[in-house]
Amino acid sequence: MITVAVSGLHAGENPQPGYGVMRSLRRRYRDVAVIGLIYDVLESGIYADDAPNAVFEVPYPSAGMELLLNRWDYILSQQPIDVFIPTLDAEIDPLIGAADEFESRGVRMMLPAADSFKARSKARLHRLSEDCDCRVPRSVSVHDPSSLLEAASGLGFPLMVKGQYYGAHKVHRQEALVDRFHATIAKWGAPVILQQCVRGHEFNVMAIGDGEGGMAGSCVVRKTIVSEKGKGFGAVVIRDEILNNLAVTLVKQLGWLGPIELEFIKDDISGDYYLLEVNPRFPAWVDFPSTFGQNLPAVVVEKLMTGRWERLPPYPTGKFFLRHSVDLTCDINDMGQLSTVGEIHHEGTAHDN
Amino acid sequence: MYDVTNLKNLLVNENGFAFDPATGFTYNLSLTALGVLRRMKEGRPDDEILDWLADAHEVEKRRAARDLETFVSSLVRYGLIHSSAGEDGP
Repeated sequence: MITVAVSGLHAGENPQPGYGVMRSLRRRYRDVAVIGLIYDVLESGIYADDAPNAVFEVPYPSAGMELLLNRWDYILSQQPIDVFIPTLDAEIDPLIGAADEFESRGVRMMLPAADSFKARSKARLHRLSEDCDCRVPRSVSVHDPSSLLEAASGLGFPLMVKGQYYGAHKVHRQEALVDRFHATIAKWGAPVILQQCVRGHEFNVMAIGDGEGGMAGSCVVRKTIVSEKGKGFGAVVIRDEILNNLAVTLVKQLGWLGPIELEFIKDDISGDYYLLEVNPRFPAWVDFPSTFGQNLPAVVVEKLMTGRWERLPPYPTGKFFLRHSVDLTCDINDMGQLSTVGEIHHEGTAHDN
Repeated sequence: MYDVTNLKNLLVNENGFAFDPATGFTYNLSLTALGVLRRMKEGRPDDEILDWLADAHEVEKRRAARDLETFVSSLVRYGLIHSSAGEDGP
């Protein structure tokens, strides 16, 4: 039996990738045990019928690595873990720095090198784009309010206001910009990234970098339904050689190892692709391609456990997903258990085929 | 002259439902449009398509030409065909 720990299990309005990673692993492995690592007792995936086999609450990355490792030592004393797939942006950088600690504890992770991680940050996107001959919307990193308005005037309204990890809000006026700037600082800290708006359809590429400049699997979609929060609630698989080549070039330039998501927008007028963001983890739609043979979480696990990259078949265009919300019936006792004891174990958890 | 490369990649079923695998966009075609599109994908010359359109629907060629031009404009607007040599020729 393989035991895989997964974080990011909330699948509500702003879905995290962990629940999809879990479902993908269970599609592939009949005997996988999934350990959910949560930061909040209301992460919805832990209350689903196909909840993780066990759930442990862990401290936020901002609490420091010592606290996190202490918690991991406790968890490992209760439950051996072979692989950890982190799915939240804020986790990745601290984990890269502590990779040796996890390795010494027998926990395998597939993470990019520190240089690769830094090179894809929102603040450095322009430099990456120059190296890859790829367009990016004009953007400015703002660290304090005094430079905010000048930065905005250079870009023009409407513009996008983005946190360094998460969040992307379009603002049309100066007043909204100031409010959004402060809200973003409060939530994600500095810098805040102001980005030129490009009008067009959004395209996402999910892939695994092999650490040697190549890709060990990928899937490309165009978003067909976008929520008010800008999340893809529907997307269709496509194949566009220009976009594919851009993705290959970017992953090669970064020398990326592990899961990655590239977000593009295609300008309605010029037809040019603009790189918006490079996310250092699987996206929320990760399970969708797993349903037609592109099981990228399983590729990660196979490589970590066997040392081999699994070959995937070409993916079919025309498959599309629609995000569908269901109401979960939860038991207050489970929430109470997690709030107080910080862990819960499920017996005979239902698995999907 | 038009570049019909994108058109050739368009997947079309017998009911006129079309899917562009490069963009993910879908289209619904009338049976008439389906007939024209099939001939364009096959690389038939414009005159031949026009003759077919006029004969199949028993309309004057002038009317058929107008309708064909409207349809081609739509294809250009959707990026399915591109002018390959410019409006005025090479």
